[in-house]
Amino acid sequence: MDTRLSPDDLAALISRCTGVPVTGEQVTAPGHTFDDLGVDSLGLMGVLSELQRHHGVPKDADLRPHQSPRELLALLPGEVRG
Amino acid sequence: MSPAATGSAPVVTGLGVIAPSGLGVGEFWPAVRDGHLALAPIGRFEPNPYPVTVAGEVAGFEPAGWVEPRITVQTDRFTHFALAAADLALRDAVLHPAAVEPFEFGVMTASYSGGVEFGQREIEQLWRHGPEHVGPYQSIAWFYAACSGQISIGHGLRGPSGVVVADEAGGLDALAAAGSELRRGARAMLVGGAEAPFCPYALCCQLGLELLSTSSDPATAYQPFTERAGGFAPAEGGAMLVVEDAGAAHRRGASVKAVVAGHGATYTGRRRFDRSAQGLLRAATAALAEAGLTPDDVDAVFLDAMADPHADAAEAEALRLLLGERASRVPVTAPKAGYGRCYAAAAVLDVAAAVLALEHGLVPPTPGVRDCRFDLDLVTGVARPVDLRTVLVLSRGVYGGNSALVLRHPESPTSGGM
Repeated sequence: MDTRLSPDDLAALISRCTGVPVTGEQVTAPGHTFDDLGVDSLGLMGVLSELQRHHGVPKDADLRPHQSPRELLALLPGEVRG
Repeated sequence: MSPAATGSAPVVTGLGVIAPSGLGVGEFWPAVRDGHLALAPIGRFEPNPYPVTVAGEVAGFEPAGWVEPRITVQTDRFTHFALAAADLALRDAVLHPAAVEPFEFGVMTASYSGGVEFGQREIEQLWRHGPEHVGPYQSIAWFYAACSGQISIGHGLRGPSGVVVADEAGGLDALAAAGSELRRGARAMLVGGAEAPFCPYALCCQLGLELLSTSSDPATAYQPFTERAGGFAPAEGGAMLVVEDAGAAHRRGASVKAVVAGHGATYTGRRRFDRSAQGLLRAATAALAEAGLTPDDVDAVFLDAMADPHADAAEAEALRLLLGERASRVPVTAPKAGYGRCYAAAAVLDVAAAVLALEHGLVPPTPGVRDCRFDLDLVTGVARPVDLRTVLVLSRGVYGGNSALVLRHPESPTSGGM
């Protein structure tokens, strides 16, 4: 199981799960919340469960739309370039 | 005085159609008018080993270009159809939602199947991998109200909205529900319905009805009112209409296509098609009474056309009881024989076809049917020119609902006069 994700990989995963086009820069830029990007709570739940299944994010991790993709990136284990 | 007679009956100002016979009225009407056959072998999934293999699929439709990607992932195909049809209807009505007070513009849809294809995908995840693999959007995508909700959110419509889950005849009941909201103060309603019931799970649910055609020949699969009637071909697709308060439509200078003059609904029990003759008769009588009309005013009838021998006989009997000796002379038709029976959206597509028939003065034919076994003037072959003022649309549900809707030409003497 590949647990390492680059910001671009994470952006692609968010886009796939939510249908919202997201770039690697938006994932790492400070100040962007999921609300700003147009990702709602159900979409975020889908993103989290995908990360929990395949990318080693802990089962009890939780994230809300007012939080940022940077905070999500910080939940990922292993090396993250950003 | 009836609402139609006083000019307060709701008016249709926009049509949006996503049907097996075409996307938009520009494709749909010529296909219906010319009796085009849009039934084909099921291509959306491998229909073996299921006995039903012919259906009306909206083969050319992809959500890209119609539905925002963000909405596409969280909605079922039936909602994609409804969103596309709603856009087309607004465009046809030349009505920008922002031009209406948000609390005065609502949405009413009818649903029979819900978001079944999305649901099948998530059930497969559940069985193969476990509950944590079910996507969160399942919670909203399957829901009967998904179309009303997404149209409302997408266009910022905050007026009275809902979903009618009332079997197939609910398609006509949704029009009546929208009419009630207009009488209670709404100015405009998007109303209609859509279905996308083609996945193994959904088809298995339909097989239990024992009313679907098992013919593998698209040309003869759905032949209502003939000796060969052996069930209907199912369809996907739908239609949305912009229906407005007559005064509001007049004030904004809208072009009125038809008047929704009257509605009636009855219930006669599951698989009791013998009783549906009385059920349809009483629904039609109530609809005509609400319109301030009598059976003598009916210029054409759009039939339910179940293509079950007993159901067809009951519908023919209802017409005989309603129209008396005129029953053999009033043109009747079932355009859906060309593209299939689209559950709760079937009657909405019939309403769209009936509005177009009023507009063009043509009764479209029943595709693929030549020999009606009843003493009815079933229009076959080519469309028939008729000076249409009043059209009756009949709809039955497979579980026993019977509904009727009366549509009038906007220039009819007792309607549209404000």
